[in-house]
Amino acid sequence: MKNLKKFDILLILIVIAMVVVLVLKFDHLDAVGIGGDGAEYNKASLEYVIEDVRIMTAEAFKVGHTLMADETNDRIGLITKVEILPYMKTLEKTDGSLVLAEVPEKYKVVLGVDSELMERETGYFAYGITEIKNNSEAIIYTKYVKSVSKVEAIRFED
Amino acid sequence: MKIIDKKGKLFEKISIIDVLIVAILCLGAIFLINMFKEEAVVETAKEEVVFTFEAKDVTQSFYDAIEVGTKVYNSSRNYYVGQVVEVIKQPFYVWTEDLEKGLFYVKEDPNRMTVHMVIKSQGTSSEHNIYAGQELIKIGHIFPIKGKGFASNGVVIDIKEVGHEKP
Repeated sequence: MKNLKKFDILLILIVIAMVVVLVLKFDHLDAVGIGGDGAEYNKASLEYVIEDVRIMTAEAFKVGHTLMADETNDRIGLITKVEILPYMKTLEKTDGSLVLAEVPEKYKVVLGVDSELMERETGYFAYGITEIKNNSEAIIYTKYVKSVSKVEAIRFED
Repeated sequence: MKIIDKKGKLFEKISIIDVLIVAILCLGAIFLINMFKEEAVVETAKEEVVFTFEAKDVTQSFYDAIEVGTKVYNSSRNYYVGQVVEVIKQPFYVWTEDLEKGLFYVKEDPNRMTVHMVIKSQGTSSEHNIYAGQELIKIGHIFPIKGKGFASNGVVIDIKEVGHEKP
């Protein structure tokens, strides 16, 4: 220990730092599914529902555009279907009954999205990055539009 | 033979300080190259962006404060967004309920209004995003705006043009 010069200490520190960086890097790669853990991608068709939006938002989603996740800034998939429907909301009348009433000038948008999901123990990840969960709310976007949406269905192709 | 001798040399030949200096210079060069590469990409992608910003539930005095040519800024971050090229006054609607009939309906509020500002800006466009200055432009994107004598929160409702492309 007496003979340990500051250069030796520096060298040891550099080697330790390099090992730490490499470990963290491989840990990250494993987290995104490139770590060779045997995980594979499966083609899936996703259904996203956007509610309570005006026509300009509804019409800005187009077939062929790439759908992105705001949380990860990574792609979810390619939009294959855009269905614009009237937006219906439950209303309690004065007699206590519940009715489903149309909200004027508000729309529900159903998006069909083709994606590739990686299955892990914790869930399904679009292209290994963005977690896709039934019934979960998330902000999605394309180049031209951004909105809050909910995952309505995950269907795997045979 | 020691790996590092008393003079701080690797295998008694290479100075560890020289190795460190070379490594630092290499890292610095890589960092600088990457920095200039990113700037170059942004520079080449600069183009004109024309979009419509909607301010709802505002008054006549708000509308009167905006003129063609007015410069607008993001009021929380204080950066320049663009210049107003058109101001359009619209009715302000409220959504209300008829609990007897079980219906929703839309009603115009005569005391308030909606103002649409068409804003022209120098921006950038990439595969997934459009920026007017530093402001992200997407239909549904909400941000606070201000100009000389007015301010409001609002939302992007239309992107008319990006470069020469009509979305």
